[in-house]
Formats: sequence, structure tokens, C-alpha cells
Amino acid sequence: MEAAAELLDIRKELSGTRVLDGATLSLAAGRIHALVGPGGSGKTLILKTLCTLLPPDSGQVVLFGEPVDFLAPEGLRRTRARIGVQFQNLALFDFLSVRDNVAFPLEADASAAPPQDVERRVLAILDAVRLPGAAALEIQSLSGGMQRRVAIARAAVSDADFLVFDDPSGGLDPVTTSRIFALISEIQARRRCTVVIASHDIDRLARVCEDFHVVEGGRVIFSGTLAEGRNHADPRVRTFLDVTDART
Amino acid sequence: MSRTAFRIPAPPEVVVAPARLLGQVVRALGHRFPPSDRLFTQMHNVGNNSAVFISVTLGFLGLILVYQGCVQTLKVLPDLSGVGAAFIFAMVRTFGPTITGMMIATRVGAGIAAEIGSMTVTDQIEAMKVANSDPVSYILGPRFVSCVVMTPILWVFGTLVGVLFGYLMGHWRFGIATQTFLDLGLVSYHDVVIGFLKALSYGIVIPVLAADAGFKARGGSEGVGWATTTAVVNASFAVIVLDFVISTLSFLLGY
Repeated sequence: MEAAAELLDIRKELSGTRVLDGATLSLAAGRIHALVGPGGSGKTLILKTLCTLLPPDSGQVVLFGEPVDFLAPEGLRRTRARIGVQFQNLALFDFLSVRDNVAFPLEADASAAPPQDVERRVLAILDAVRLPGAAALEIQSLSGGMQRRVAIARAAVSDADFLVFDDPSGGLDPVTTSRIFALISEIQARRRCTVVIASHDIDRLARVCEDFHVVEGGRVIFSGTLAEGRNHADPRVRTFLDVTDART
Repeated sequence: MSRTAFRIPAPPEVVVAPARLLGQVVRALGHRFPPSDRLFTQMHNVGNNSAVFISVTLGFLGLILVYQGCVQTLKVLPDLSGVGAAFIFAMVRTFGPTITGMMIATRVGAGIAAEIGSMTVTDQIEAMKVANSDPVSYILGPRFVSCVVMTPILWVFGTLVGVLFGYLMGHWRFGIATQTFLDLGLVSYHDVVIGFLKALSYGIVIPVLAADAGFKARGGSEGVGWATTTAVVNASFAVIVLDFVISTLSFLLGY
């Protein structure tokens, strides 16, 4: 199956510490992938590398079949136009309203959609994340769960081919968590885009994800289905996947 | 015997990084000028919100300078007729722009660094990049234009306030006549231009140095604190250095 995103032997040092140590990963197109691993294993850095936000010291990033040139602004612009990201700490713009936050990816790009189209898409995605009528609200006035849904709406508002969700259920109650995972699954089913979700919530990941990738010490030590992972020879893979609600 | 070639030392990163950022913001503004609503919000923040702060500072400076000027003059001469002209000359050429610059460096520079630093450590800058928005253009652009426009305006305003308070001190405490104090005889066209150039240069470097510190913030609140402190220290230092450089150049050129 064709890969939407690939990391090939990625190495990265930050402040003298090797944070990615030969990470190799292939995300098949049109599927939902889970990226799991203990805290501090490098999941977020792998996601940032996939989003073209973290240039590696060595190795290659291939997105949509083309190697990413981190020094070519025009190429990066075209690639990023096909990516939607929900950051671990949400990264919502606290000086903008909910509507302006969600519309940001559509309006920031020079090749922006016409204004009527922007409004239609923003209202549709806010409706999908069950925040109708929240468009005019300020970000600070929202609860944690609502903010997370706004971040998901912002990631999914454009017709991105590759959606990245970094801990979409962090700090949320079980009901909201289930809704968020169902929403991500619904978006993927409708668009047939490639989705990667980093989370510790193995139970809920198991319900929506087809492929699992286990990260440990800055490298991907397993890629496959959940069943394969639970029968893997490496005890680190088994330990991490063979638990329910494996929070670290 | 080998001969060692003379090499010009590379400029330090503290100079190179802001210079690169200045180039980026100028290029970005040429490509896309900030929308008027965001520009006016920033101009209001830089200008109107700094006006009281600068009035109070330069007002007190005027009071102190004239008081000290009169007291010291009276120790050697019983004539205070030259105090007003010398004071106005110093206010227009040096104290007005430089103290205004220092105040903008502390109030506006700290604000810009804290704002951008907070956005950096919370991944908002990365969110902008991945949305194909240029953070330099989007965040620094309006702040840069506002500082460039408002710093000279605040220089004029602050200098007028300083002169007014200096006059009040000279007139009411030392009995200097209004016409004698408000003597513009020592202020030439060149002094006004030099004062304006100083204010303009401060308006250019303060937002750039502050933004540079903000973009370099790492970690959490500690990183934002570091960015704010660095911005104030670097911008204040830059104001003093620019004052010295422009004053020296103008002196060498005979102005």
C-alpha cells in the first residue's frame, strides 16, 4: 500500500541530547495510525518531524511520495497546505475568537478559499465538533474539552490529506474522549485521508486505529496491527500494547 | 614561517540574528502590509498606552534637569537666562528621544517579547507555520510598523511635556521669564533632524530585538521571563549605543 508519510532513519539532537535516534516509520495512506509509547519517548517530536516543523539532523522525510526539502520554502508551503495538526498543548491563538482560530488555516494561506466558502466550512466543522454557536466566543472562555474540540476543528477545517492529532484526549473525561475519537474516525471515513494519533489511551485507540507504531527511546520499535503487537517478541512492545488504558 | 591572514571577526549572534529578523520583516512588509485593524490596535498599544508613562517620566526629568541646572548655575553665575535654551536643546537632541526610547524599550519591548515568547512556548508560532502563515509578517509586522511610526510621535510629545514641566520649574521656582526660558535660539534644524533620526532608529530596533528574544524563548514561563528580561536589556542597551553612535557621527559631520 502507498505511504502518505515516511520517516527514514531520522536523527535529531536538541540541546546536546539525542532525541530521535534513527526513527523509521511508514504511514500507509488512507488509514488511521496510532503512535504510542511511554512519555518522553519521542512521539511528539516524530509528529513534528512529520509535519515539517522539525528539520532532522540526518535522515529523510517523505510526504505524499516526495522527499521534503526543509530549505525550500515554496515546497514546504505546498506540503503544509495538505497537513492539518492538533498540537499536544492545543496552540490555540488566545487573541482570536473561536471562529478566527478555526478559519486561520483557510485565511492564512495565500491561496485562501473565498470568504463565503470559509464561513461555510467553519460553521460545518464547528457543527461537527458539537460547538455550534461558539464561533463568536473567546478562547479563554471555553472549558478544556471545548478548547480541545476547537483545536481538532482547526486541524480538520481544510481538506488536508494528512491529519495529525497529538494527544487529542489529554485531560478529558471518558465521555468527551469517546466523542473525540469517534469524531476523528468520522472525519477520516468521510475524507479517506491519512490520520495519525499519538495517545496513551490504548483502549480507545484500539477502537479506531488500524495500525499501531510503538516509539521507545527516539525510535520506532514496532509497526503493525494491535494483535501482532500483543504477540511481539519484544517485551517492551507487548508491555505497552497488552494493557488497557496504558497511561504513563 | 607562515603568515597569518588578517580576518575581520564575525559579528556576534546577538547582532546577526536581529539583523536577519529586520531583513525578514522589511521583506514581509513589502510583500504584504498588515491590515489596518491590526495596525491601529498595535499603534494604540504602542502610542496611546505609552503616552501617560512617557509624560510622567519626561515631566519629572524636565523638573529635575531644570532644578539642577538652575542650582548649579547659581553657584557660579547669578544669571539663569541661558538655562532654558540649553535645556530645550538637550531635550530635543538627546534626552527627549533617548528617554522616550528607553521607556518604549521597557514598556513596549517587554510586552512584545512576553507576547511572542508566550506564543513560542505554547506552539502557537508552529501552528502558524504549519498553516502557511509567516509569524514574522503576522506578529512582528504590525508591531514593527507601529513602533516605527509612534516612537517619533512620542518623542515630540514627550519632549513637549518635558519642556513644559521644565519651564514650570524654571518659571515658578527660579523666576525665569517665559520668553527667556522658551528660547529656541540654540535649537537648529539639524538638532531636530538628529532627534528625529534617533527616535526613528529606536523605533526600528526595539521591536526587532524584543521579537528576536520572544522567538528564542524555550520551555515554559521561565523561557518567557528570560525573553522579557533579554528584550529589555538588549533594547535599552541598543538605545544607549545608538544615541552614542548617532551623536558621535553628527559631531564628526559637524552637526
